This record gives sequence, C-alpha cells and structure tokens, in this order.
Amino acid sequence: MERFLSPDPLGFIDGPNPFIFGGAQPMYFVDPDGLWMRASELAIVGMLGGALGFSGLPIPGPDFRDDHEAAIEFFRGQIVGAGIGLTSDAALLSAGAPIAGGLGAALGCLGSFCAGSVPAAVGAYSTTAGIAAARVTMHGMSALQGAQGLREAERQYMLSEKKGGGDGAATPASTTNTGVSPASATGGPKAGLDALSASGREVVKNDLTRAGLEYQKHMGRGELPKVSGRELNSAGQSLLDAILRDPQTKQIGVFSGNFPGGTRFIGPNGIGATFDAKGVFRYFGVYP
Amino acid sequence: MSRERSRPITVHEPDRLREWTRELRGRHVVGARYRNAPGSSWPDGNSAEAIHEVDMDVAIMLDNGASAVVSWSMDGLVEGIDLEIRQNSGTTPELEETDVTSTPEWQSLVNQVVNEVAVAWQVPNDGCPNTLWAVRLSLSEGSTIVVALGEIEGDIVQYQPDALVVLFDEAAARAYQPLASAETAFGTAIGA
Repeated sequence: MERFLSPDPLGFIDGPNPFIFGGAQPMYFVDPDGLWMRASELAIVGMLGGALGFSGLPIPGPDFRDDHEAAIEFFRGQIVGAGIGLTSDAALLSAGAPIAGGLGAALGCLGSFCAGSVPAAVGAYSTTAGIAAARVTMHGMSALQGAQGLREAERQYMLSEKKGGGDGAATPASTTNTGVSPASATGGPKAGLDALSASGREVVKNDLTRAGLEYQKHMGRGELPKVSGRELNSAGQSLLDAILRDPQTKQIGVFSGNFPGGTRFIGPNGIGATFDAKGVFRYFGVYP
Repeated sequence: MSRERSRPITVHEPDRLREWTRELRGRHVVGARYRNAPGSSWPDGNSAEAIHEVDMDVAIMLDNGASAVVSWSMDGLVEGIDLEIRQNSGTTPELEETDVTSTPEWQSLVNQVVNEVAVAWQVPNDGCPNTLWAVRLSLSEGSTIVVALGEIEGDIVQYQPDALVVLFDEAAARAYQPLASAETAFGTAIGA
C-alpha cells in the first residue's frame, strides 16, 4: 500500500490520515503531487469499458441477448456516467463545475443499478470511475458537496453490488470463494464480503446479534463448541467471518427453497452460512 | 449431544409420523414447556403474545406423563421438524426449559383432548425430499395449536429453519406459507 512520506499540505481534507495516498485505493486513484487525486488509468479504463459496451462491442460473460433491454439500460447509464465523469476530471483542471463529478457518479451507478444479468466486473469499473469523479470533486471544490456525492456514490455502489448479477443470471452451482472480491463477476453473493459479514452483526434479540443467536442455537444442538453467554456474539461473528474469508470456502447459489436468490458459503470443515437474496445472514448449518 | 442425533421427518418415513400421531390422539393436554438455547430463558426477547417464538423445542405434556416434543432439525440441506415422544418429563441438560402452561394461550388449551393431527410439507432445497415443517393439533373444543418452523420479524412470521413459532390462531396458521411449501402451516390432516 503506497503512502506519502510527508503530510498532506491540505491537512485532513481526505480524512484522519494525512499521509494517505490516493484515498488508500492506489489501483483506482493517483495523486502525484499530494494536492489532488484523480482517477487512475485503471478507473479510466473502466469508463472506456462502459463506452465500449454501449457501442456494441462484445463483452465476455453470459449471453444477455435475452435481457437485451436491461443491457441497453445498463450501458446507457455507464456511458453517460463515464462521459460526465471524464468531463468532471477535465473540469477540475480549470476549476469547473463541482457537481459534475457527483452527477457522473450517480448516473454511472444508475447504469449498474439496471444491470440484472451483466457481468458485475464491467459495472464495478464504471461505478468505481464514478466514485473517482466524486472524490475528485471533493478535492477540488466544495468539500461538503463532494462528500455528499461520495457518500451517495458509495451507497449506490453497495446497492448496485447487491443488485448486480442477480435476477436469474447464469450463476455457477458452486465457486470457490477468493475472500477478496467484493462482488463476484460470476453471480453468487449480492453484496461484498464486508457487507455479508456486517449483516451478522445486526442485533436481533436482546443484545444478541444474528450471528450470536445462530451460534447459540446451534451450540444448543451440539454442533458448535460451547462458549459463555458473553462470548456468543463474538463467537458467532468469528465463525461467520472465518467461513466467509477462508479461501477454501465453497460458494453455492441457492435457487429454490425458501431463500431463492440467496447464497450459501460452506467452509472446509462443513460448517456453512446461508444468506438471503438481499445478502443478509440467516443461519448456520452443518453440511457434511 | 445428549440425545440421539435429531433428524427432520421426511415423507419417506411415514412410520415415524404415524407413531408420534398415535401417541397423541385421544390424550389430554396438561401443559407445555419451551426449550431455549443454552443460557437463555423464555421469552427473553422472543414474541410471547398471540404467536410464541421458541428457540429450540416445544414439549406438549400429555395426561399419561409423556411429552410430545416438536424440534427444529437440520440434516445438511434437509431442513424440517423432528417429532419425538418422551416418556418422562426429564430435562435436556444443555437446554433451558420454561414451563409455559400458565400463559393465557396455553391455559385455555389445558385439559382439551387431541382429536386430530395435521402436517405440512416442504422441499427445503434442491434435491431434498418433502420434509415436515409444520404440525397442527386440533383439540376437542375447537382450538388448534400449530408449531412450525419460523420466526417473527416485525409483525410478520417468516421462515427460519432453526427456530419455531407456536400459532394459536387458526387464521394466522392459514396465512403462513413459506415459499418452499405448497400448503400453509394449517396443513393436512393425517388419516387414522
């Protein structure tokens, strides 16, 4: 991870760490002089990806001719978002319109929003470009407006992650969990691993989180090691995170039953966690 | 585990269901106990109004001293209900028990006779057999008790494979139907 050797001359405009480089996302942002960062070549490639997609060039992935209208909407959103995002980059250099970046981000995300069965990776790049545009805006112009744009863009990004790849897309029956990808280009989880993990922390009964309650019940069936009441939440969350992060964990799409569109992660020890179609953790299970 | 490993009842095991039903028919209900997850009591955050939420098992006590126990049970992808008759009221060491006979919902059912047993089936996951997910007892004074897989979220009963709801109201039972089942929790009566 890259970092600056001296603090940001603009102070804490980027957050509590004045040494941070490229918003701690050097793949997507560059910041050669420390005064402002812009979308890296990778993010620009994402914008161009959106443009190419709109122009009709073939994109690897499932055949979406059956979902033609959704694909058109998706790429239309991407091209508009990419175009405005690029415009905002240029505009920054001449101290131009601060809103353009945020607008580009929102429209870029709107494209991803419409994507039901299009490869998530393409959408992710364009959405990232949108976020880059919002960050650029935050640097160069009104910090408040920029921050709002960023928050909205990131919120839309999470929503688009949840939405993208679903709706009956050609999801493999089982894939191996890499433990790093926030959104699978092959379907499966509708939210990044962090969001999946976070859903286990929701307090559902008294002070018990969903992960803690599930741990408690399956401990009661003798399926999990005994812990004290105080440790239930941490034990449940640790188990959930271990399942999600283990590179040998298998990720299985749930197509029928009571949680269609959901995902089941089964760790190498056979203990699994099932998430509903919204990416919310529902229960543990043992799958020999 | 302290007892034989629990398994959900599938449609391929009619004897298990028939045996459980035979033990109940004609018996008076004398009380009920809920078994909770270790370290918790009932209600302890569970719904305790018209619909009861139970973490682990429901034990319906009968006039012959036996208990008809309804438990959630997961055998891999097969999610369902396990039914068991316990000939004494012995407790399960690792689970906390709460006697709920005195709650208004159960109090009105005490001393009624079990006239009919009904069940509802589901296919919980791809490739699974039809599996029991709800059981209903119809009692002599027209009351019903339904124990089904599920939990209450907000005001809604929703499917949860490792939790139970006890529905005392027929309309509520007829309104609850998970995606994987072709019938509501009210179920279909089992022949004699």
